[in-house]
Amino acid sequence: MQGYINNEKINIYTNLDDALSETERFLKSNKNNFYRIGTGELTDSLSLDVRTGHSKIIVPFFASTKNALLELKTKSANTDSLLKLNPNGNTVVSWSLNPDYIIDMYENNTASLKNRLTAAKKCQDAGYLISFHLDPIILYSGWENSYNDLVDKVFSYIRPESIMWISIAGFRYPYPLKTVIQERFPNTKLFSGEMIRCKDGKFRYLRPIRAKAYKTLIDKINKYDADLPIYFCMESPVVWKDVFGRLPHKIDNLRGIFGDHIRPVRFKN
Amino acid sequence: MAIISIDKYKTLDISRIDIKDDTYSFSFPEKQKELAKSIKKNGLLHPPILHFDKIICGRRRILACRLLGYNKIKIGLVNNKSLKNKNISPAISLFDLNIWDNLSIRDPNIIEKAIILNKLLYIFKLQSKNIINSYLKLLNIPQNNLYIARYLWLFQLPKNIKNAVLINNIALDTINLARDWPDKIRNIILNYIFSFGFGNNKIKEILNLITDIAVRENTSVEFALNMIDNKDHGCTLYQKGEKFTQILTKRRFPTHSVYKEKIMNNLNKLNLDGSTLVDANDLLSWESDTLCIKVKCRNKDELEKAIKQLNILKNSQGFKELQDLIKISV
Repeated sequence: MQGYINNEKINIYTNLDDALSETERFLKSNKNNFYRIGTGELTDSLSLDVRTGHSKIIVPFFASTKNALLELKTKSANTDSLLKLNPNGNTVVSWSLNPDYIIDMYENNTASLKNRLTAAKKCQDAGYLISFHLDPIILYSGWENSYNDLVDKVFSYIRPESIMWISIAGFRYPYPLKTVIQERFPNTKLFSGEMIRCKDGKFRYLRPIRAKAYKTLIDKINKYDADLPIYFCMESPVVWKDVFGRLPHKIDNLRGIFGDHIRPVRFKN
Repeated sequence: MAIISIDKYKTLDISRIDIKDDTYSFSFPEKQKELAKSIKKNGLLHPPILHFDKIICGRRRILACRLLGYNKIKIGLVNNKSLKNKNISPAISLFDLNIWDNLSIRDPNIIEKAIILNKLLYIFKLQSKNIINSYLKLLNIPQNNLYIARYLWLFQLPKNIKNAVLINNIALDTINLARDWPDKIRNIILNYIFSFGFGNNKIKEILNLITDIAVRENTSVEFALNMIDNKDHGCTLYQKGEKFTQILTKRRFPTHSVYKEKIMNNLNKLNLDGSTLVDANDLLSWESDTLCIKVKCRNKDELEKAIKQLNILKNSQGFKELQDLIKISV
């Protein structure tokens, strides 16, 4: 994000009313389509919620809509304000997860894995839908055991049927980000893997290496729930074919996510 | 910035100018020979500016005139009253005058920018905040503290490295890759790398490889010292540099290097006649599962020839091996 935004500051927009009235107009004029709308693309949806109180306004707004699902994406455990609200089945709370080793090394000032999963369980029990982003997967000596343990931990806290989807993606970066990170953390090992520039200009682990990592995780998740929608974030068609043998629109349980505005298949209402 | 006026222009005995004082100068390198040739041919078109006996603008011009053996030169004198600005000290106003005088005819190079920032901070005692607000944009530097730190580090490098940075047209981001290396090792390695005569991109690639290998292998960049080869193998410095880069690349990307070598061997084994060729770019990145084959023809005969080539290719062992290489099983 630091390489993309080119700014060290976090912007908090105060014209939430404008955003919501615009969203309302858009959803009403496109009644026949179903939308997944997220607030965590350029920042963490909940890390500053204690101060902004945005969730108290956004969650009830989406609870009353008929054709949209809100996704709040976070690395925090700030869910107390969510627990007092009724999402009406229209809010998915997502956690970006990594093994503790990676959290300690690279995700400064974020919640521990245990705290993220405890918060996820509370949200599940309060009626929220849950999803996880195993992203970015960072490979290091012993990654296989750590990521397998991570999946075990997820399912020890969360019921498979509460999970809407799990997305998976390997660590990738545009070149300018490497300079920014190395400037701030000169001894970082983040870039020590064999990574190559891909067609979109981003550097990724070599295709066989990341495909193997994805397959390892998918096999592990499938042991808990073979129908759970799993998708790749920012991956090339060739890797989809390497791992799944086909592209996302041809995978049955992903049609709810990648179909043309079809309501998510696991969505209960 | 203060507005400074020039009181008068007059002809002055060159021996009365304090040439030892370089407080306001930031020229690098201080080459006077070229300038002396120009002054000899065209005369001193642009008179240097002095404040009493101190040189404010045109130190190189004055040194060039001395080299030419001139006794008297025309100079401009700063009006002392125009320096009385409540907000800016006289010294900073005079330094500003030299910066503006230079900017009106050229952009300072990266070493000169480093000298300017170092002087603003340590000679003229300006705060970083003021430098960011008043000078960085003027010098075409991003308005960020990080850049001040990078330029100050660049200022501290030995003179020969600074010269090489300018000669090889090396960007700040590139040289900055060696910033955390131990001083002695850095200077030896940089001198060696600069000797290849590579441009900025290639130098950047090498510095990245060395830094990444050190992190990856949990070692110091000192490992690169053992790779320095000063023997004459009958190859050019450029070829030596290419070989040095290849060895580093193999060490940094061991899996990918083996894959690339296999692909190249198989492409060579195909023995295509030029009418048909396999596009290697996609294959080499390992990001494709498709072989892209190009056929070149100007007429029916050439097309038939190419089709024959495609048939040979289809049944060749090399083609089968290429297919096996790009497929991955998980």
